[in-house]
Amino acid sequence: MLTLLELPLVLPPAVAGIGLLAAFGRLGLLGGTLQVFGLEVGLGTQAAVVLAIAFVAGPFYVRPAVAAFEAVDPTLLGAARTLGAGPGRTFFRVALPLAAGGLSAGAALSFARGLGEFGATIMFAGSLQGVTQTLSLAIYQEFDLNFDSALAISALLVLVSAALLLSVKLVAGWRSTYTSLIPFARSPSISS
Amino acid sequence: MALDLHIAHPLRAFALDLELSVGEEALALVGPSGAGKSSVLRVIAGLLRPELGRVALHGETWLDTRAGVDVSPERRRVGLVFQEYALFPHLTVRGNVGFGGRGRVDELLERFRISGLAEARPAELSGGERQRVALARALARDPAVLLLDEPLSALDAFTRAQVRTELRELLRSLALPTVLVTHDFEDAAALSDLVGVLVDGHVLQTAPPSELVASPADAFVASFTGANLLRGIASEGPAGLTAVALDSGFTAYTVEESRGPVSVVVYPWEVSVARDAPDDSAVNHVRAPIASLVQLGNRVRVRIGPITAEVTAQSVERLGLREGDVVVASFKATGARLLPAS
Repeated sequence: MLTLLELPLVLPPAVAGIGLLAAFGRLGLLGGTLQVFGLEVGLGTQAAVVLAIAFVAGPFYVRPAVAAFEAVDPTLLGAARTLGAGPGRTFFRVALPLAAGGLSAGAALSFARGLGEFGATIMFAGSLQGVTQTLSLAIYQEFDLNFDSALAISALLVLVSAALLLSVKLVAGWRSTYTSLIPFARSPSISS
Repeated sequence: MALDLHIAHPLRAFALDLELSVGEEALALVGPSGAGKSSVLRVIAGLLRPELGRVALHGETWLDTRAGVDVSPERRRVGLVFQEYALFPHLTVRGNVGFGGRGRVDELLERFRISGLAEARPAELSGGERQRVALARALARDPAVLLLDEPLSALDAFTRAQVRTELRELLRSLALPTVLVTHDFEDAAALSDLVGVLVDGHVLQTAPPSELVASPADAFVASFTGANLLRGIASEGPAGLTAVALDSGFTAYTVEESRGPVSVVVYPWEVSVARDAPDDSAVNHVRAPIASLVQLGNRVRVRIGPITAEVTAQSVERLGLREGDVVVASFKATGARLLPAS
């Protein structure tokens, strides 16, 4: 199951786009079924952009997230149980806070990957200005038309990415002050 | 109130199979590492479900595999103190103690002298402080049974002696059915009213600590209580004594009757040490060089040939004992007990 989720990590984005098109496009395998329910995720829809980015960037979250939960000492979960916490309370009061570092690292990583998503989005959703055009797609378009605005968008993305990286590092530092159990610092390197 | 349990559960190398009943007293399960001690606690707490078993507190059944009863851990009134304490690293001391029950937090912080640390995180605490937090946290839930997994093993030698005294007083004042596990017989003897020796999943003997020392059921129990175990062959000796030709070449005399292969049990505190063979009632003398001197508090364990003696630090100083000195270790014929060879 996990291996299947990780497939997009190794798939060329263009192939992922084609795959999504073949599965969910208007003429795709599931496209007809979705249309019955009034859903359309084909070329030119924002839903297609979301699906494409989630498909490609999602696995970047899953792996650090699984690692983060695996790193939570099971003794602590047992301790919570003997102290009167049911499975639900144990999850929210102990497992989730202890895994939070790894979860936010995974989220940041996958957000960054999504920000730069290009291949799958342009194949599956197209590059319609104002509808499906992401910043990364806009850079590609402006590169031909107006190099200065391509530069400007790139500069914006540099800022956003740098801020993201900085906040991940800050959270990591803050987390590790009270525990060394959370594999926060090494999570981002897992998928690179 | 009494805790009754019966467990049959296969572990990796052997099967756990034991039956215990603990009243309002402290029972210590002692045994070597990997004897299944911690598994017993996990079964009582509900963290491990044995293949076959029954756990009941004063008639309230927590587990009965035959009847299909298995009360979840959060609904058993158990206070479990984990070996490394398992404090929640993301919560403060107050948050940890209050996790199981908020009602008595301030009282417990006060009682365990950790009020000043209420806002500290576990990572900032010393070993002794962590132990007090773990105890306070376990008691905050107002448990009916207290379980302690190696309560002293995570502490350094100095803190350990101090905590041992405090813990003994605490257990006395709580008067709860308590099961504690430890691999250290001295800790067990100091903390509990009854000691059960657990080896390979079986309880070999359950008795008050003094009785275990006085009449160990077998060679393992004897060695666990710190006794010297000397193997040899017993035959008839002079004056109605039994002579045991020890494997180490010496001969020991005892008042107990036996023939054939035996183990001679001699407690270190029944062995005296002198420069020359003393003119007293002891008939057993072993003359050999001192192999080692190990200080334990105000006592010193002196290894002389095959035998270990325990004497006061003052005696060592008075006699000027050093490693390599040839001395005589002596013990009475009444101080040498015989067990069948194992």
